[in-house]
Amino acid sequence: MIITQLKHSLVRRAKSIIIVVVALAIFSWAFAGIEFTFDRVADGVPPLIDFLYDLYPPDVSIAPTLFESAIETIQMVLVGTVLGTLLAIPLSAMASSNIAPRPLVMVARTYLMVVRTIPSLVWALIFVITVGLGPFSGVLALTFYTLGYLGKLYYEAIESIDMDTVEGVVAVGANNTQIFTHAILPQLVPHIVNNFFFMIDYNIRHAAILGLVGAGGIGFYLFLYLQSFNLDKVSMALLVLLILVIGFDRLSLEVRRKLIQ
Amino acid sequence: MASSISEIVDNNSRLDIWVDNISVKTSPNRSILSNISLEMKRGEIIAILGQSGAGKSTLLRTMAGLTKPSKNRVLFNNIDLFSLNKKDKLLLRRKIGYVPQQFKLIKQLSVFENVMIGRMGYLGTISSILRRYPENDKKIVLDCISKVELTDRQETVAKRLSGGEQQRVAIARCLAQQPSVILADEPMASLDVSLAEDILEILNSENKKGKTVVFVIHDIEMAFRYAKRIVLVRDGQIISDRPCKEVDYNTIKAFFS
Repeated sequence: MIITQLKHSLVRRAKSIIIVVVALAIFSWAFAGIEFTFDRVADGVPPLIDFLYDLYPPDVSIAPTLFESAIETIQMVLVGTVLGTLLAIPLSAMASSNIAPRPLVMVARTYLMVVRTIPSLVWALIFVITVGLGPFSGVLALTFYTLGYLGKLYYEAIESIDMDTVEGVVAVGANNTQIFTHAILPQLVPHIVNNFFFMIDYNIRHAAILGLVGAGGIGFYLFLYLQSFNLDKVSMALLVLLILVIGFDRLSLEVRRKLIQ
Repeated sequence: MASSISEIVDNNSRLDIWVDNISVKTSPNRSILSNISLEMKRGEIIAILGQSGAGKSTLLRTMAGLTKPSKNRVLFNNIDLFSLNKKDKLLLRRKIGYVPQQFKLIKQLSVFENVMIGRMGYLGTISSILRRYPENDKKIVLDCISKVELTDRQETVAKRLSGGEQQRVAIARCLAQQPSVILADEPMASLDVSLAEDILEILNSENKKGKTVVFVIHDIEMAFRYAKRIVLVRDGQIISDRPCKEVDYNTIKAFFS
């Protein structure tokens, strides 16, 4: 009896040691790939100080232009996120294994996976090529990115809802649309609202990166100033972006509090 | 007697239920119900008694068409729900009222909206999506809410109701269906004695209007008071099925102890 227990505890300990060793080996392998040396870090400190020094003081004179472009960013984000969310709701229903037939689930999930795999920057590049420079291509990029991301979050939410309550609606003779609108959707609303605001927050920062390929908004100026090394202007753009993110964060908190009792 | 689906969905239709030697299995080796046969004539009121895990709820779910028997079928006026096409299946479902044991309300919706779910089988898809309900349906829903004495709470969200109130909403939802058959799984489990009697009185009065009523119950006294026939279930089988007057109260009591 005691020998068996001892054997079990030794096996458990050996397993733990193996897991730690394997994890360390994987981390070391990954670390070896990043070409890290302390010399490089030390060499990088003076240029970093110079860079930070050049960022200060922010160039306030360009604030009106930046705020104008920030409004364009807000518009892009609002339209892109709303469109993406509206498309994500029906697609997530098709991708949920507890309510949709298996072949449809496979098709919808594959589609969402493909959409999600393509980074938003690449989406922006595709739409800049197809519809030209400016905020419209940014909106389309954000729509597709939001669709891929929220589609997955929403179908996971649908799969976790209480199917017993859905059965209560099936029993009265409701059709599939009524089952969705009266049994599934009400349970999904908190997920939809929460993830929508999370996505808004995420997309504001993403919209800035989209400026890199000319997809409009404040990001366009951010990268313009970065490329021309106007760092005081860059810091002003970052400041405006920070105000935007904080403002939306406060706003979304209030709206969420009101919508979800 | 065979019926057509159009006769069944008629507002004044009466339904016979025939549980035709069914079995329900969760896996090839595990049976919940074995070879159950039960004939219920239109307008009967029947109590199903049995200990926890005996298979009473599964029997009721199978009768409600929510579980498909692994052997044979349940017939309503000789029609098998699972043999119908999609449209006719929905038509038959709306005539089968089912009150689940755990209420199964949509917690985020109001009492009014939950009871309106009982009208879904009658409503058009667009009007239910837009939540623009015809006046007649609204009236039926408000009447049913009033029957279970929840008129002053009709705008309250279901998750804010007590267990007893949720139970009454589930009953009102079933009544709003204007069903021909009412299958109630412990409809008074969360209620105090006076409310429980009120609910059984409602079921009784629906039965007097010609509806077939089947209810699962633990309270033997109530079963004797309201049912005309008592069915005893043990280990997934019916061990007794007799009119109340032929059943000895003490024998049943002994069965439970």
